[in-house]
Amino acid sequence: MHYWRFLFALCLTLAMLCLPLTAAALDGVTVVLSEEGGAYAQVADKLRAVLSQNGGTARLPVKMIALKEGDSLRAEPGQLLLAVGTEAMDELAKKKLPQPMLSVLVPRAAFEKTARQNGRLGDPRNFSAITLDQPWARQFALIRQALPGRTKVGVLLAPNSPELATALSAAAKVAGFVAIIETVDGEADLLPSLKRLLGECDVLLAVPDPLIYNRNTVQSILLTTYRHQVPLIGFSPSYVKAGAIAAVFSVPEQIGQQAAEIIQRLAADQRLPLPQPPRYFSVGVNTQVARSLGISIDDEASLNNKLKRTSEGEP
Amino acid sequence: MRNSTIVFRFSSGCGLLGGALLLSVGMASAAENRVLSEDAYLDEMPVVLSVSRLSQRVDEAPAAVTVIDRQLIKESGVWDLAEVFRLVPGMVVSYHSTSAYTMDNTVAYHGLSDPYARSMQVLVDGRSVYSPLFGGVLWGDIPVALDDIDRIEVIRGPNAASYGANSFMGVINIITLHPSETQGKFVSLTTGRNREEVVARYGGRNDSGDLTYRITAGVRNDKGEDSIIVNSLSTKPSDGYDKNKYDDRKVQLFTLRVDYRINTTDELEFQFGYNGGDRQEGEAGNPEKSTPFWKRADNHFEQLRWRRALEDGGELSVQYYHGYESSYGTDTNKGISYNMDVIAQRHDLEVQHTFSLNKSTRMVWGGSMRYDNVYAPSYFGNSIAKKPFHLGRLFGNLEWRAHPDLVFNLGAMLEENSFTGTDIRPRVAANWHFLPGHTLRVSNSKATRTPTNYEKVLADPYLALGKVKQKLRPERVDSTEIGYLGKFSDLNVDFRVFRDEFSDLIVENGTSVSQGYLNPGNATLKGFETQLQWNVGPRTRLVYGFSHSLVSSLNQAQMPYTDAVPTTVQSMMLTHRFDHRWSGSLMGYQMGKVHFPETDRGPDGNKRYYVDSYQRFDARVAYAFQAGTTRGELALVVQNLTDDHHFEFRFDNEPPGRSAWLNLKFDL
Repeated sequence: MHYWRFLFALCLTLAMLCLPLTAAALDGVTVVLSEEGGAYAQVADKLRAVLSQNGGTARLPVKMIALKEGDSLRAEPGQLLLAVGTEAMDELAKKKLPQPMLSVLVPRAAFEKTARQNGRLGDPRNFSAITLDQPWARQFALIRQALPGRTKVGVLLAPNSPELATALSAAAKVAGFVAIIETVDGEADLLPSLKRLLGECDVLLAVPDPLIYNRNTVQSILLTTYRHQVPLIGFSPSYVKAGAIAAVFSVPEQIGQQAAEIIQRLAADQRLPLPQPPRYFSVGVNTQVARSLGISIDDEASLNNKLKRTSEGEP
Repeated sequence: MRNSTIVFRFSSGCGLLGGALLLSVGMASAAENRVLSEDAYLDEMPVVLSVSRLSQRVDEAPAAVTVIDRQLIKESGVWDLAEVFRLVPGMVVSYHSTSAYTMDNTVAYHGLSDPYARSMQVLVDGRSVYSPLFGGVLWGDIPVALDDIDRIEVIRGPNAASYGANSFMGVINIITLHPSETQGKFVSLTTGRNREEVVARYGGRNDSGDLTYRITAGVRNDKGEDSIIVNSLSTKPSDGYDKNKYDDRKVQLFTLRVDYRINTTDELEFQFGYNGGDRQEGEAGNPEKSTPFWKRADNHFEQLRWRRALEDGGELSVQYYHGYESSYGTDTNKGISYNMDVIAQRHDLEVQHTFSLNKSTRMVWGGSMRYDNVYAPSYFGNSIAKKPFHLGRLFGNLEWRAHPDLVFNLGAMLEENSFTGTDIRPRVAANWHFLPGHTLRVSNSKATRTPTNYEKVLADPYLALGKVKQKLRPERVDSTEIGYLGKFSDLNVDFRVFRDEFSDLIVENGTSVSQGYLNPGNATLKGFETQLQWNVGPRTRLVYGFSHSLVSSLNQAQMPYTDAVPTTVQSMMLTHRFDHRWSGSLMGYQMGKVHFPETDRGPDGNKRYYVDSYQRFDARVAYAFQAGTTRGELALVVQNLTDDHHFEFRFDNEPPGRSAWLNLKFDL
């Protein structure tokens, strides 16, 4: 008898799990790209690939539209809006459509600003995001695993970043590091600030602020950092190629994967999860730079595994 | 890079106030928008630290290396570039020791040289400055400002597999700063005993930041040695032993470097440099030379390099340069005029490719072509024909990491030149990190030195007349060494023992001609040397070098090989930072007694005359300051603190006694 009851309960559970998708609560996803091609298309392609897989659930139609066709969007129950990139997020938010909206490939600060401007800050279940920013804990874990023994982490910040500075210092402390923060007051101050910082820290952590890290400055920052024999932790694969010793980042496909999983897991009422950092990530290592600096560093795969293990405890 | 910040463009070209205002407006709007786009994450970045920018770890290099960085150059208080090599273990540096053609310094690794030391290859940003006429390097004629140098790598030992012929006893690699590191305005002013200099630099870039450039200009007035020798070997005024050479010189310097980033993988670099001015020449002690011979020198170069970073972390580069070395003047002796004009030109094209065969093997290979021509009627028997020299090269080096702690380097260079034909020079080295921070290196390297244009021109008639049987051949060295590099908590140790076997050394004197052979010289140099870097305290550092070497030779053709290497050479530099403003350094140099081939005999005709050993101390005290956005440093440099009057290289060459000067540097 117990056996039958158990089977019944199992069937019920399975049915409930399938309910959000099969019960036609969500009919489809409308994807709006900031730009055609590039990283934006990679997110969408991955999303479509995952959602079209017949993994025991019904396929979910994915409609893709360009930003300039955004005027055609109407209130459409049963649809989820997926904005890829800041521009798409901004444009869609302004339309104030009733359907839930998930933004991806956006920095956290950009998402928070858009939410604030459109009065959606208190509505995370209908207006949420997967942000691009890697959690501080993950970045410190990378430093710990890739550069053991280095605890003085130098960070260049633009002025007016007090919240960032506070959050960073706190996260560093929790992770057992000391964050040494130097504020850059304009272009002329960049190299002097950097040189001061390099005298005090044993690793430099790049924070994605285009005021400091951009194509104009990357050359002098990397050359100066290298001259001081201090490794730089970047935030994108292209920084690793440019000369950062390592970086943890999420590629568009990983963001697409995470978005697809969120969509698949949407509850019947289509309530989105809270804004979250990237779940899947990769580690990039520049072995040539490491070798030249005399640092023996694990390869990308093993650093990746170590970070995955440590990040399982993350929220 | 859509909508990205343009703040950095505001800062230059405006007035001070306007600039400040615009900058703050820019910063405010940027603060608003800067983190609000994913561009920072997605932007493609240029490959900055490409293979050629990454230096090989010293403990994985196939040879002993001394690195002199810009801070060390500054703190050592040197006036001439050549002086900084006194800090390299085993390096023999002597002040204004050449006595004709140019009154310049001599830099010879271990010695075994006449004043025109020809046994080291010297490169500035990959361009050879080895002189086509007499060989060696005219140190004072290199178009480079000390303040533009980022670092100097000195390879102690032959390295022809990587740098070709003439990398015979060592290689000096001078690397200048990238223009992106020298942005803004910089001025350096120096004045003091017999020395004055002004150097100004401006570094800028275009709006999009893909083009950076630097312009450096300078004027130098150098009075060289004191005219009277204080510790003269002879007190008789009539024999002229009491006078130093004429060696005043004025130098005008101009250099330009432009780096243009074509895209994320490709870069173009262009350099132009000029160094020239009026200078004196002549032996003041010679009664027939009672007035200096004034010459005008004009040296310049143009260099273009294209680099592409390859997908696998490799790199492809193509480089062309043209070097132009010239001096003009008419010397008179006993009423006869001599045309002393010299024009030496060099064209050089090189292609180099670096790539990884697999995770543990990296290969660099390439080839180059060179064409030199020299016009020097007074040195070429009044011939006004330009003497040409052609050179072709193929080179390769394989770096194989057989084990994480074991690195092998196998390299070779194949050269064909129009003077001595074809030669191949191999090098093998193994570096074993037997404990973390401790490395043992074993290497063998073979190298040659190609005869210079002057040596060739001198030798050709002997062959034509049948006085010698054989064509002039390249000099050869076979060098074996065992090195140890150790890192202790505050101390870095570099120690090596070496054995260099020289053969076919060129001698062009009466004896060698009478024996019918112009390559008679053989010598074996054995010794050890060490280099220590000790961080005595958080603000105190000591750099120490010691070299001990002995020569055995039969002194063929009456060449004094066995005397031409000082047994011990020592150097030290102690630096201390008192606080964030005051810093000081103390340098000490000691050279053993020596008799070089052109040291000549003493006043009493003593053939075995040795130039005595000497000690010299220099000091520098600096005060750093900041006034607004201007950062500066005022330094007092005193060379030869003890006012020691000694000879260098020859008995008629006494470097200046105690000399002090002030240097003010500031970044505007």
